[in-house]
Amino acid sequence: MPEITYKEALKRALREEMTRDKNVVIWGEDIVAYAGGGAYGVTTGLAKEFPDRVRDVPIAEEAIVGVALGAAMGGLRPVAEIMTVNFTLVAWDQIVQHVAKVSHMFNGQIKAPMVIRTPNGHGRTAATHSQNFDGWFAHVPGLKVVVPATPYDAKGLLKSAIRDDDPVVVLESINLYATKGEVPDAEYIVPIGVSDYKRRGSAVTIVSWGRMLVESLKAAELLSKEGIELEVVDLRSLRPLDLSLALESVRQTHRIIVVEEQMRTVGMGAEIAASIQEMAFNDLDAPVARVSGLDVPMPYARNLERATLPYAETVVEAVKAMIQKQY
Amino acid sequence: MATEIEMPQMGFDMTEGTVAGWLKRVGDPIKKGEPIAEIETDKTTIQVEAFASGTLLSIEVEAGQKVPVKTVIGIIGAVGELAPKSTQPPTAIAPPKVDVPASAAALQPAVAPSAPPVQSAQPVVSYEGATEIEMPQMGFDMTEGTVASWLKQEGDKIKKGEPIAEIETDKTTIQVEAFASGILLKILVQAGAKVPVKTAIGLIGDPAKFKTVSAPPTVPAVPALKPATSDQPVSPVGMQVSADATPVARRMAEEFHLDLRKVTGTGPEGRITKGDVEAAIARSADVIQPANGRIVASPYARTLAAKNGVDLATIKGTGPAGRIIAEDVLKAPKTAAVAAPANIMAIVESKAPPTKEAVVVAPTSGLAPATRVALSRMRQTIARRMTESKTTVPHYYLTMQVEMDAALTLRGQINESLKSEGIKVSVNDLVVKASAGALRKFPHMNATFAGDAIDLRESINIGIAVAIDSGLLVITLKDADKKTLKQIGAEVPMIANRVRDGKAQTGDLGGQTFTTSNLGMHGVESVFPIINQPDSGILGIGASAPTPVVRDGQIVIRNVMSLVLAGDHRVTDGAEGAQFLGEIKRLLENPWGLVL
Repeated sequence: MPEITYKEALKRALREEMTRDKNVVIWGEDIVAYAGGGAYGVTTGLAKEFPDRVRDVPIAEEAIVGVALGAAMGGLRPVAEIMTVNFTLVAWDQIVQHVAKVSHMFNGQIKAPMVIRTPNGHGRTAATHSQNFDGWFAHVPGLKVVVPATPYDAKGLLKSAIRDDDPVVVLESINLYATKGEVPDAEYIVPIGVSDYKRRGSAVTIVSWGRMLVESLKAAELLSKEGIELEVVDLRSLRPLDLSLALESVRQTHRIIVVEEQMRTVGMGAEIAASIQEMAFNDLDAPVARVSGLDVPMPYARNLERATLPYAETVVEAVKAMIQKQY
Repeated sequence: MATEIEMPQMGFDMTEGTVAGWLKRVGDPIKKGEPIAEIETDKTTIQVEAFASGTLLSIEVEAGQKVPVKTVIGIIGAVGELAPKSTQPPTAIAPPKVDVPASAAALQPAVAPSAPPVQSAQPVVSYEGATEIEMPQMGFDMTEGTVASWLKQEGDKIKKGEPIAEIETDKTTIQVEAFASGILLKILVQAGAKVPVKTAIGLIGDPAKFKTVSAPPTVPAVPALKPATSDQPVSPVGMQVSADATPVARRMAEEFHLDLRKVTGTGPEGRITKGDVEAAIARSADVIQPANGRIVASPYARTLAAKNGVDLATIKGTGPAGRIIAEDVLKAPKTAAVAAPANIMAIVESKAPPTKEAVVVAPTSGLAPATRVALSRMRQTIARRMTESKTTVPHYYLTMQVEMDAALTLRGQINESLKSEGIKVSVNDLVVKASAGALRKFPHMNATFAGDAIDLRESINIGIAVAIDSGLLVITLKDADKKTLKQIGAEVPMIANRVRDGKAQTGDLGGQTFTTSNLGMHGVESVFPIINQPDSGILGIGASAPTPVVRDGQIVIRNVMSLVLAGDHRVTDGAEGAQFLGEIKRLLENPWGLVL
């Protein structure tokens, strides 16, 4: 199977869906004029292929999302690109109060089949531009939230998002854009709200998604050399949340760690840990543990940023702490 | 839009069907009207056709499984639209609450001749979100049963109607079927343990909704499920740091009664950290568990300990902070005293399992050498019950000869007319029918001695002794007086076959009010049986053989059968027994009364 980047996989999803359905349009900042493909180049070239359907819009995120919602209610399937997750804050009123609720407040008579694509996470850009909002979006009923970790899932989930009649937020990982993985040329989709085993093992279950899923797999490689085999569950979607595999797995391993990039307090990890202990209390051989980012505004200094975020090594440490023996 | 494929209802009396086979696989394109699966009912096999075109997205019921009508067996739709497997938050629906009766004593049938000893203080446990699997009552005189084996393990998926455990009663082994679908959440009574009927032996339900509401009070060693320490790393933000120890370290030291002055801190400025306390606890030989008596063990370790009969107080934890983890339980030797989970009313039998292994025992004091064979459970039961009856019930015996020629002729005619239906009436059936008729007239023969009273039974249920490979069983023909010879001829072999095949149904065994024992087929002349308690009488039936008989001064040949009645002298006397036996004789010698 050919290997392509996460970024290229997203672009292919957009191209295929635009070719399949003429109602699919893309609106975003600098996606035509700036090097012909947005700040991270996901849409590079698409403006040429679909001249009227890929449009630059003013620097006004609230307007981008609001206009996309109106168009969606009117029958189009807009993909709104927000340059980084940090700028979704400006559109938060539109997203929470309108996009997520319109279908529910009109008893489903009006649909909002739109996608908000945005790069999420950290990247040497300090406090206001280096953030992860996984939990914030997942906290909003009415939205669907997908968090692909591999090029395969990125393409399949974005295609599902575009076809979905509900608004879907696609949280892309900035740090994964350049990662490569196998993606078939043939048509496929990945369903929203279905988790996936990314590695099988018996020692400890890891539940993760997005960038930390990739770090968890690296941790699994490191630990495997010491004879510790992790089982890694990729949630792929945060809303709806599919914990069936996590539960199935913890009933075998009896130990589970949630690995997340975002800050720990009131994060996704807290939600998942609470649910796991509710549903599998008698199967647990250790408290449900969390590996998370620290609760601080992101420092700019490289060493401090590094200390704030979890990596494969952090996961390795957490696993060892969980299975350490005391003689 | 996805379309559900349902188990079709063919005819209003169809309640369930089996998926015989799938003609399509998941992912296959489906055309509307195309056959997609084969369904087997108890009457026929038919094909299910697709109501919609699309792709077979999922198979919900695998081939070979039986489900109620209208159950979704598969889903057709467009690729990708399949609903996620589990997206509901776990607390969405409040599960039904099920209470375990507080005392086993309340569950004993009123008619039980001898109730087993019952522990006086029973734990009150209730479970939410689970359906209890009860020890079934097979016949009204069954008071307890043994879980012979579990066919499913905890965590296994269970379909309604699936056999989940094997139960041994005094009389037979039967399979318990699940009344509900779900996951086998808990095995409450382990294989080998004997419990009263209606006792919950396991729980089926949805693990997401299951919880134990109150813990049993009978395990003082395991009082709290809350782990005594938290190993969760604590957020560095907002943490109050004292001069010499972190709060976590302080709390942990307190719980383990550890003197912090004896611990060397390795944190910033010599601060004592959680790791320092953990290390100190691990080093300290005498501090295995917190000094306040609480046992620190993981929930899973507790689950395992209860299951394996391991006393947590006797093991040392090797997990973080000395917590007992699953591995410690698995390595620990089993303590026999805690062989059954403490939260049920288990009466544990002697641990020696019935075994077919024979051992040669050394001769002792003049006895010839022997090969010792362990008693099977059935042998144990027969030995106990027969000894009990023969030593506690004063038996009287009456013998009577019955001329069977007319009855045999009638039987031949009846069987000729029933040939097309495949039903045969046996000599035994005739005797059973005649006994039932006579019992109506002699209620003391259809009774139970109840200490200071006599219970006259309302129904006439005739027990029929049946020899099986491993011993002897008494099957029960209910309401024998109300059944025709044709019904008896059809029913008795069916019940006997079910019992021989280990597929006894409720009512097949036990609940008899009078018993018959026939060894005529072995050429036995007279059978002197032992009363099958709680009955007041039993009839021994011998062979029917051509015999010279004096009639009007002439010797003639008649088919003569010997009947022996054993009666419980506490309930009935010889004269009454004689009249009863005379009535049976009259009915058999004038057999039209059995048919009309």
